[in-house]
Amino acid sequence: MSSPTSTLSAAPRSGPGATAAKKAKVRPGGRRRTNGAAYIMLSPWILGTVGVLLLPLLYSLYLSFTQYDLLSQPHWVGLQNYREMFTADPRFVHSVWVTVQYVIASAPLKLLMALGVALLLAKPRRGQGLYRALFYLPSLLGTSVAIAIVWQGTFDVNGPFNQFLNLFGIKGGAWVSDPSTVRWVIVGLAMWQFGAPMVIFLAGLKQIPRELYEAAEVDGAGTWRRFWSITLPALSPVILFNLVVEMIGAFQAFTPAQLVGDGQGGPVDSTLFYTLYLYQKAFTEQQMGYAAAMAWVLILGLSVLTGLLFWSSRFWVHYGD
Amino acid sequence: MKVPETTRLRGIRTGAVLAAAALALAACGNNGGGGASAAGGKITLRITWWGNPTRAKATQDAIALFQKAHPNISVQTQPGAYTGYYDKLNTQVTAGDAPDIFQVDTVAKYADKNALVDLSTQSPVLNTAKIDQSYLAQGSVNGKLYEVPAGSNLFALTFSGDLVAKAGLTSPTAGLSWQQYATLAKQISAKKLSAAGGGQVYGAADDSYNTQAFEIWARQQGGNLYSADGKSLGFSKQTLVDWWNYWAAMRADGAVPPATTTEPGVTGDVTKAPIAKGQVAMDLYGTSTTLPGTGWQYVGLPGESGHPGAYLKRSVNWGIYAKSKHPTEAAELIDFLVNSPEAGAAQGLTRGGPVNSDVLTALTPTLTGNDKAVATYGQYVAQAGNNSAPPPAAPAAQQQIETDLYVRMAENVWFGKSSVDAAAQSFMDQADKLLAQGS
Repeated sequence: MSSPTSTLSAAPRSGPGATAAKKAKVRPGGRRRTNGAAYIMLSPWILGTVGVLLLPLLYSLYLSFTQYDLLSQPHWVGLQNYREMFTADPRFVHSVWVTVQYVIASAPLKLLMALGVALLLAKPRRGQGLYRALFYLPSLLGTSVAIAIVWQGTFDVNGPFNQFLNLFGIKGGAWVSDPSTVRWVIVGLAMWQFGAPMVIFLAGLKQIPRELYEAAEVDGAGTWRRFWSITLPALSPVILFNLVVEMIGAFQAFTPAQLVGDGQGGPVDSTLFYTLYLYQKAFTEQQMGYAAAMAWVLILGLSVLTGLLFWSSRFWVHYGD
Repeated sequence: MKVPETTRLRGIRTGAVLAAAALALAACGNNGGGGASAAGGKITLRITWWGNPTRAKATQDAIALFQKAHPNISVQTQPGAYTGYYDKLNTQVTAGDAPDIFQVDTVAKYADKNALVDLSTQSPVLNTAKIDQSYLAQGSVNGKLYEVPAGSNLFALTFSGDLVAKAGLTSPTAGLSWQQYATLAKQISAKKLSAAGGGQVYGAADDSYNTQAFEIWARQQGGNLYSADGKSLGFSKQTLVDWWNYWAAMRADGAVPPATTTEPGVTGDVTKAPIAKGQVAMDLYGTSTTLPGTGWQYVGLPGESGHPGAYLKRSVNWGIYAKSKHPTEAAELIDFLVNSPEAGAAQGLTRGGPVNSDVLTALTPTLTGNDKAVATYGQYVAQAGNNSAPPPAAPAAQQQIETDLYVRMAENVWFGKSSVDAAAQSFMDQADKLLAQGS
């Protein structure tokens, strides 16, 4: 309790909060009373965070060192789950590989789509609000179960996509049942859900000072040159942000693998995404301890990758000023 | 946009009133339920199962009859789809809140975890006298009965008489050898009929992923899927290698469709199976499976002469949750569903043929179409010489071995990721490991 109190009272050094600090000094008893009220107001949030987030999080850390089948008590096994993962479980290694391939394919493609559409929509024109809404719409629908199922049907061997190819005399394959193509179907599903990064790119584009473009135009820079030398560098902080968010999101992809694949990671484990394997371990095989350990490896792995991205940003992200 | 103060206040007040009303309603609901159970002595049973809407409707009709006869028992039905059924059930069992009665087909898994009631303790209300011992043995662990079969699922050579006739060939009959089955399949494929859903019609479905079909093959050679104690496999690696080689040859000959056509059906959704989509004319299938459409015919499996592998195989079953507060009433309901001719008439063959011989006899004359064909085939299998002793109860790891590991290894062969020999070896090793763990 003591540390939040001190931060609360120490924080308002300047700005509008300063007066509050001054008042607190005048009435010594008042501070505690004010803080008490604050804690009461905060209690729903505190209870929620501690009860629903923090405690389960710590419990899952504990479970990751146990063997737990849900029906009997957890049984402490130390690091065995972690050891098994990296030394004795080829499916785990395979699921990491499948997921990394998916992330490398889907995150950049999605961002390219988002940036491309944002560039088109950034120019002021009549009804642009409508266009933006329309391009955002797929993101609202795309994560739904229904769309994933329709998407699977679309790429069925006798589905609309192959019928379309047939018009041009191309004989399409069994995209969804073929282990070599099913991942691309899932990447395709992710690609048109670019609404969120698109909106952020749009906001970023608006922040770029017009003078830069005007000056460049006077100097005779073409469209491509302006994009390459002004838009991209100016946008690079936004790109970093989107990249981090999309990477984390892609690593956690579950619904498309569950629904477009056969739900068990098949055919031949080609859709065995990390989270799908985790789910299987937890709820099909009831190895909750192992699944908890997998979740912690995912968190650690994502932290490291995010750290690496931030480290690399010094070479390619330009903050104005 | 600025909202006038009064309007905003009124909005808040309306919200508060609504919230209070909602709370009050919720409270009423609780009191209502609790009060009734205290006052009238009325108890509530929950029952869950998976299956198609026809099964759901038929079961609910039968349960309505039960409720009419037992006004003090109210039954909540919770039908669901097979996908995710066990995930949900496992979670409910963990939370100590599973339904009183659930449909189940893996006895050892729940019996080992003490999640099922020993049904012999309920024998005063749950009568099993009219059920063949073969069925009951499959639901017993260490001599204790944990599951009562809700129907039979006799494995059969299932075919569409229509498609075979269109191909201009004579329908298969009982007593085919595996070689003759392959030849007939090849002949049908050669006609290149076009399938309703697109593509061509193949002679037979590729059953190399199907453990139920493989079980027949193993039993014809004197084995079983599992050993009597459930601690190891009941067949040799060579048996599995021969089986997968048989199907590899079928694929090479074009007697069965390519793997990409078979793949969508491997997770157990019958509507996605090639036989259901009219992409194949023949398949090895359980009779309890509700294939869409009509005109299905059932005959004895290939390779049965001499040493039949078929047996009186149970379909899905009913079990009572160990923590049920009303095990006796739950047993009464199961007794009604399985033994009452009324309930039998209401349920029809939605879980396969009735296992109670009296109910089956009463029901048979009223059946038509597919149902009649299933019942006729049931009589055929029940004759001496057309079946053999049932296998021992399956071990707890059954589900993981049969629906996950086995299918994955078959797929590895299909898509050329490993040879038949390597896949079989890998299956044997991993299955042995799972059985040894006893999970």
